[in-house]
Amino acid sequence: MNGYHFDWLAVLSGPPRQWLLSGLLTTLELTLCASVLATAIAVALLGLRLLPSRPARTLAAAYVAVFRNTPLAVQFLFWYFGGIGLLPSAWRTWLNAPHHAVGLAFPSLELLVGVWGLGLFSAAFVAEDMRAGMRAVARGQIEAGRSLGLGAWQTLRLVVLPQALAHAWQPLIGQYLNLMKNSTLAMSIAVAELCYQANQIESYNFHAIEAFAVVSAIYLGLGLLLSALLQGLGNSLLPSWRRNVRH
Amino acid sequence: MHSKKYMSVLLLTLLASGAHADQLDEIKHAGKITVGVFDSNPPFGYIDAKTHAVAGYDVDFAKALASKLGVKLELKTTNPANRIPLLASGKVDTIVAAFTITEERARQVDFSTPYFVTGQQFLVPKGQFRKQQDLANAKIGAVKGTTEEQELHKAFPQATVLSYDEIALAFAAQRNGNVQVITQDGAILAGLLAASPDKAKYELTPYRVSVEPYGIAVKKGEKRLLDAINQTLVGLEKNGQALHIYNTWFGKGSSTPLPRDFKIALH
Repeated sequence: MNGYHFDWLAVLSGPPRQWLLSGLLTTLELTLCASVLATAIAVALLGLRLLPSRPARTLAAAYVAVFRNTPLAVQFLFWYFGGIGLLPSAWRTWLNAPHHAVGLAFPSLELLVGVWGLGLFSAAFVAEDMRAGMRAVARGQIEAGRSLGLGAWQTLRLVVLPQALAHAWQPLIGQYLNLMKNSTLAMSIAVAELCYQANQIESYNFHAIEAFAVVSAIYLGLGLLLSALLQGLGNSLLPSWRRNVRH
Repeated sequence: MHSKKYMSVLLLTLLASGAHADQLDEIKHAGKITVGVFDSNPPFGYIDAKTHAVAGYDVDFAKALASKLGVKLELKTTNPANRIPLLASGKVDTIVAAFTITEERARQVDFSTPYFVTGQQFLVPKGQFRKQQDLANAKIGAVKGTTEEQELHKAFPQATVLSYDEIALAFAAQRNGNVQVITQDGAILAGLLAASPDKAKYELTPYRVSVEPYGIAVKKGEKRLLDAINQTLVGLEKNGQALHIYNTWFGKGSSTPLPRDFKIALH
């Protein structure tokens, strides 16, 4: 039997170890920042959907249509190779130059474009899950809120949104997990995240099997951690919100 | 006794000429030299679409070698992995196939003096990065999984290296200003630049990080053949024919224009 000889030290020591650690850090930064951006945009889209103005609702629908129906890989290439080219050249020069503030390195342009592209793409999915959560709230709940003397805003804040969030919470966990996994596609625009670093190890010492095994294990760990955190957050936030609604 | 006589004649022949009957004599005696060349590696050796014959930089050198030796040329096509076995088994007299001279290979075959030199070069904005040291802190675009990408980490540990899937994407990033320079094999960069609409803005660096000299290979120990090849190569340089061949394949009007910064000489 000529089994493959696994050499785990080849990826867990020396430069490969450094690369994997820095890749993990980049993946975390990318996931975290893009999640914040996606949530902010999704909330804004939800706001547009709730406005009585037809153009506002159309705008939100158009956003979802565009970002949900084009591949993320293409969007990354579009922002990096197309979008950046549209910026004034002074901005581009500034963004491409290294900057330091309070001892920390300013993120590279590639990471910024990665956060931007991933955030905008994921926002469309997060917004749709939030909207689905809202639609699952029975109409009678709104009527009940209004008949208790609550204003439109109060009804939304105290009655509809907490229930909507409870409905949407599980699908939303899936969306944020997708976002984390989709961050691998940013390697096409030279974001040195985990997958990029695994490729690097392959060309450095040809131990691709070990590198990708380790990287897969890291993603699995990250995924389990992220879903446990979001599950815990949901458990601690949502019942108390329901209690608020009840009294 | 007949056979005895025959044996002694044979022995005599072996003694008289056998000691000197090396490959060069065999080539001259046979009136032809067999040369291994590539058939899918333009512009070094490839099948010409019009003539259906093998053509290229290597082929022109093989032709010049045959005519200098005054023998006919027989070409045998080969691939990179097959070069050393073909030579070792005696199926060809020499290999002229973009064969980079390396220490490891030089243990198995003998190499002539280099007749082509390439290596890792950089495509830079015109007039910038004149010296290799200027790249120390640069943002450099490379291609994932290439030896050039690895070399950057060694040669410029302080530089920011961004790797893309293809050289065309790296070039797009350079034109966007995301990286300042890009790196690859000189011949590939030259081809890339030739096809670019804004080629006036960029140029190839005169310096290289790694040098890959190509040599003509012969079987180990064939000193006279090797000397004849070296003399031919140096002669081609002196009479301008080597430059002429170079310009045919890498000159300004060619599809892969590349400045010639080497001269064939004995080491």
